[in-house]
Amino acid sequence: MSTEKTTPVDWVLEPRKRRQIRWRRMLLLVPAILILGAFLIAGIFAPLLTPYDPREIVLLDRLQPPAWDTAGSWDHVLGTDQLGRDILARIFYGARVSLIVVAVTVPASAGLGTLVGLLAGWRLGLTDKLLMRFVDLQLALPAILFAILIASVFGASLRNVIIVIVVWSWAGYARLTRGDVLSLREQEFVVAARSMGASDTRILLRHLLPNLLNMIVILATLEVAGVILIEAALSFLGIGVAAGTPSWGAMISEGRNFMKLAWWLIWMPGIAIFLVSLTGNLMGDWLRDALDPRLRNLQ
Amino acid sequence: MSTKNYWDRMRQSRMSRRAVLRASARGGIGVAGLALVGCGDDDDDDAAVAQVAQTEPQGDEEEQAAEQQAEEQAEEQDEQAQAEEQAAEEQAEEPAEQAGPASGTTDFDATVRMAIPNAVGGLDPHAAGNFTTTFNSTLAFARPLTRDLVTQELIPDSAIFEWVEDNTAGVYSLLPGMKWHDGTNVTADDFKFSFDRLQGIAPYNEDGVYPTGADYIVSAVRDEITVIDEDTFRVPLETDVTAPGSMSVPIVPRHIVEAGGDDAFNMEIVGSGPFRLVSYTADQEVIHERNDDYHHPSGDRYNIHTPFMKQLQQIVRPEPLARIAALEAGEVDLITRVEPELIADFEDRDGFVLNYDPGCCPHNIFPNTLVPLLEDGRNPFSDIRVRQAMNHAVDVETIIATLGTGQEIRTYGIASRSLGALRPEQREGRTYEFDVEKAKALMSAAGYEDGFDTPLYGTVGFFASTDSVALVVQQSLKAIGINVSLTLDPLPDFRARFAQKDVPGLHYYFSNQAPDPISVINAEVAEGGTLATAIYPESGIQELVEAQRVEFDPIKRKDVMNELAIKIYENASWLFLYETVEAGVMRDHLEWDAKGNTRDHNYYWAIRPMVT
Amino acid sequence: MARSSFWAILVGRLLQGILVVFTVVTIVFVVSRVVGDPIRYLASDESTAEEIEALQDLFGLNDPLYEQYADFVWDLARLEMGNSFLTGRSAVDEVRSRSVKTLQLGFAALLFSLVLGVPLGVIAALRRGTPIDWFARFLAVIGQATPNFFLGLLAIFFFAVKLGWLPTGGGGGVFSTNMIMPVVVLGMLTSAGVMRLTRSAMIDVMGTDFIRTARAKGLRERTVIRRHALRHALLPVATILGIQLGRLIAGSVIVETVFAWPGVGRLTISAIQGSDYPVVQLSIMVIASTIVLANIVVDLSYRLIDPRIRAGNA
Repeated sequence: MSTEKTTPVDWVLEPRKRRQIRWRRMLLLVPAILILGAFLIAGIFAPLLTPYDPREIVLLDRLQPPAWDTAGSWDHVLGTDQLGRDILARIFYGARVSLIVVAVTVPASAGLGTLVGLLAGWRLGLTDKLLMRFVDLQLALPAILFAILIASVFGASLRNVIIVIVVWSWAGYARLTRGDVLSLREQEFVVAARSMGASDTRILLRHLLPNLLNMIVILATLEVAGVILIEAALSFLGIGVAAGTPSWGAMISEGRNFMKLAWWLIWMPGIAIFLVSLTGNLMGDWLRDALDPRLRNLQ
Repeated sequence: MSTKNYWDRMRQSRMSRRAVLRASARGGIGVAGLALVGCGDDDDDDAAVAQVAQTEPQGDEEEQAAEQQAEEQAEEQDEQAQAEEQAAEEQAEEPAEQAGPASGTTDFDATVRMAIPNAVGGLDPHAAGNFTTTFNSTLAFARPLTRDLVTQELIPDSAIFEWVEDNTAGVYSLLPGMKWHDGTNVTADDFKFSFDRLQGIAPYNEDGVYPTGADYIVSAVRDEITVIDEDTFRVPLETDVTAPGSMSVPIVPRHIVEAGGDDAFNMEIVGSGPFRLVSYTADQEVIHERNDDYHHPSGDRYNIHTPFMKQLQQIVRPEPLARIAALEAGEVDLITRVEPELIADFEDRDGFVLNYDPGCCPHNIFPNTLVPLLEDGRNPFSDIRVRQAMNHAVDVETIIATLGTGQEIRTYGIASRSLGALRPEQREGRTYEFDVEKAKALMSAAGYEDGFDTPLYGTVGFFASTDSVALVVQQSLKAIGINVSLTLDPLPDFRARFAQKDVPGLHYYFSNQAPDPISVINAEVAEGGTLATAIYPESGIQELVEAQRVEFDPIKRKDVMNELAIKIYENASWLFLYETVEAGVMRDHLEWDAKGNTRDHNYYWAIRPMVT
Repeated sequence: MARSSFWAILVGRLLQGILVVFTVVTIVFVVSRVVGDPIRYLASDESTAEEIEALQDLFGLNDPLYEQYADFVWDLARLEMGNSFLTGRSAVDEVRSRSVKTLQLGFAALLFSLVLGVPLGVIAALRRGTPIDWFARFLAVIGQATPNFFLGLLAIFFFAVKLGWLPTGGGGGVFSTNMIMPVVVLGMLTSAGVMRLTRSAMIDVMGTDFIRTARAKGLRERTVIRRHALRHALLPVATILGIQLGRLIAGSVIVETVFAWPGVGRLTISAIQGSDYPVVQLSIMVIASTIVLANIVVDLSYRLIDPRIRAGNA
């Protein structure tokens, strides 16, 4: 993270160019929001949007290509998979699974990590050392191998995936929060609050947290893509959601043997993952630029 | 019916059937290599289960002549009974394959490369879960007896067997000229050592326990083995006609194992088989080369003989698509155990030959009738109507047509090419046709019209499509009220659970297409069998099992087995699915004739590379 | 401000690192002993209760848990992990050869991501707002959003099968063609991150007074860039290297599977599923140690490089 105290200046850019860039960002943002919104709606309203049950096996309809292919039909807009399940339906319900995963893991890991970071950065001393060791521990844990261990012991399920992902990602928030708390605590308003005798909790919640929120939100937005990819990777290895559950990662995993035969089996969920990651990243970038240009070095 | 389609297809196919190993790991995560005493792997090692103890006539011709006549009679009748299948098989075969060298010149210096899904464990054929026991069972090691590829009778691989002392003991006489790969002679002592080692009683490992995992194949041995002379030894046996066939013990060299220890042997094997080990890099590649001193010469033999190829390289590629890519890129010449639809497009391409081999393994779902399933202590599966209902609820034909090659056939309990299997005319009228209404009616009659819940345990990663089929079965059973919760595991986990015999529910498993199905029956049906999860009171199955064991007359025994097969089917003992078809692809400079047997790790020596 | 002795910090970090690794392995121990059971892989279905007991005794699985733990700690200290349950070879041998291969892959991927990411980031920063910039950022986002197994399989089919330029898989030496695809696929994710970070760090730095001063001094643009801006821009990159290493390890498991690369990731997976305790414990320890060590190295070198940190506190 940059520790320069001076505000970086948009060197080289005149006001007109600056406006141009802002316009372009807006332009890009609109489709991004639309796409994310579409997936959100798809996930929430999935049963209303498709007549098909994503788990229903219809062997005789298997491996139908998408509608625009000569062999396809509009009965199955995106075609069917190797068990005859409608792919569009599985994309919608898969959005639901991704939504659940993201909705649970991101706040959970952000919350946990921020808490740890706050405590460590504020209290310092032993608390700091101890908590940071936990952070190091999590970073040193070969997360994917640990995930496999857990899965082979407790079985593959959505619940376990969520647990694994939360354990996997909380440390990043902790580290960054702590760093920011360390720099913030020297600031005037904090020093003032302390000298006025404000309690620790009050300072943490009323003064520090609001300043950290920007960064946390930005990181969280960027993590969305990462979380979805992790779930996909876990499903690829067979330790993600339970068999038969529609999830984009699982769809790619199940369909990858048919890559040559039936490209749509993996390209559809692949594109879905890609779009969500892409737009998530764009949103994160935009948020960061809008809220706090200083944090551009966030990774 | 489906049989007709199958045979039509076989006739139409220009390619001869080539066996292939089963499609493997989905996750590509080396799990398949941990297959324990998996689907008939050891049964295959046994050269399958005991049949009539037949041997090639040798020695005293007078005495043997009468036996030979009886043998031939039995053979004849055997072949007649299985006639439709055999005849169709032979018709489908290309004439050039009947016997002798095919067209072109054999390249005796060729290296054949194949891609395999994994190579974990070691190479000791006595050790559980080893790479050898899963993929390479007869490469480097010989066994006492093997099976004739065409007649399926027991013939000597390395020894001749004879019942003595009123069928309470057997005497093995070694074939002459056998040598270990290090040049020393194979003696009867080595055989005794191997038998003892498998039981864990060989002196050198008295203090420890060597985890063999396959000692049940010598369960018929009832006392100490004695070495009579350098070429002969005596084994006290249970009076059981199936014993010699089931005792398919890989023979290992005593002097090497004792000198170096188990762990060293596991990495550097020495055997007396048709191949010798060149190098083994765990989970990367295994290289074997031809054993020029193998005691069965090459030439016109169609049974096990000195290999044609100079070297066999097995290269690990966990992903099925990576294996196909390797084949297409020319890195390997042969891939086996592939999902059939993945290689369908090789059909029209020049330079490749598609191999389809009928059924290595019948798939069935075994209900546990030994322990209660429901909370009130009842076990719905002990009611024959429930079992029948389950069979009527699953549309096996469609599964075959869509998820398989279309050439699979339904199983009728005992595998279709086994001794005593249901004949076609016996199948008609008995088959559990797909009929959901009938199934529901049966459920009601049994008092379960509200259905019940049950777990279904299956494997993933060993055979292709088992997870898909499990999902289909789940959906089918749900339609008649049985709510299935699915658990899919790698094979060793599944077997561990299945073997405990006290886990309620349904177990989706597979057995072996064994010429003599008795080990299958012992394992899965008969009381106390190694994997048996069911007893069927008043079904008469157990009595028949006992009866065949002491029936030394081959013709009568076959009738008993046929009765048994019918009983198993009519009793709806299992949820009968289908017999797999193995698929693979190889470059067309290779020829592989195993006389219609499921080509797999047993038959690499038969691959004939041609000069291009 | 007294600067803590470099060596003191190093030793402190090493000790902490050892503690961390130790905790990791203990977790693995507890999880696998309490819930796993290797004996079922080794015993046959017919094994009598006595035989199973004997097997368990042989591997020390019947002793109370704390005894097993004590033995385990003692063995670990001497690096005597015993033999693999599956192959019978020494666990140390098994893990060692495979670890080297994974390190080979990981290092190459890290190098690749730096070689690709940094220059691209610099160019994108300098050509900010131009199509080149947009294209570079587009590539980066694609790199971060694509599942690596997907990319790997596509790569195999395109480069190995269709074009025939590269082998479909397998291990290889450092300069072999086998390395190319796995390294690129593995490094893709990291290089995207590096590129974006370099770019934004570069932009930040270029706008600072520091640089303006240098320019005002009349230095050539190029010198300005190279000597001053670049060094400061690279600092943030160094901070994320530690995290990236963790991602590389995760990614290598998948890449090793797809390309049949004989690394330690694949070994650990089959060991976990086969309940091969010695190999599982040793390989996880090796991996954790590598990550910890790498983080320490990065942390310390960061301190050395960044004079502001040396003077103040981090």
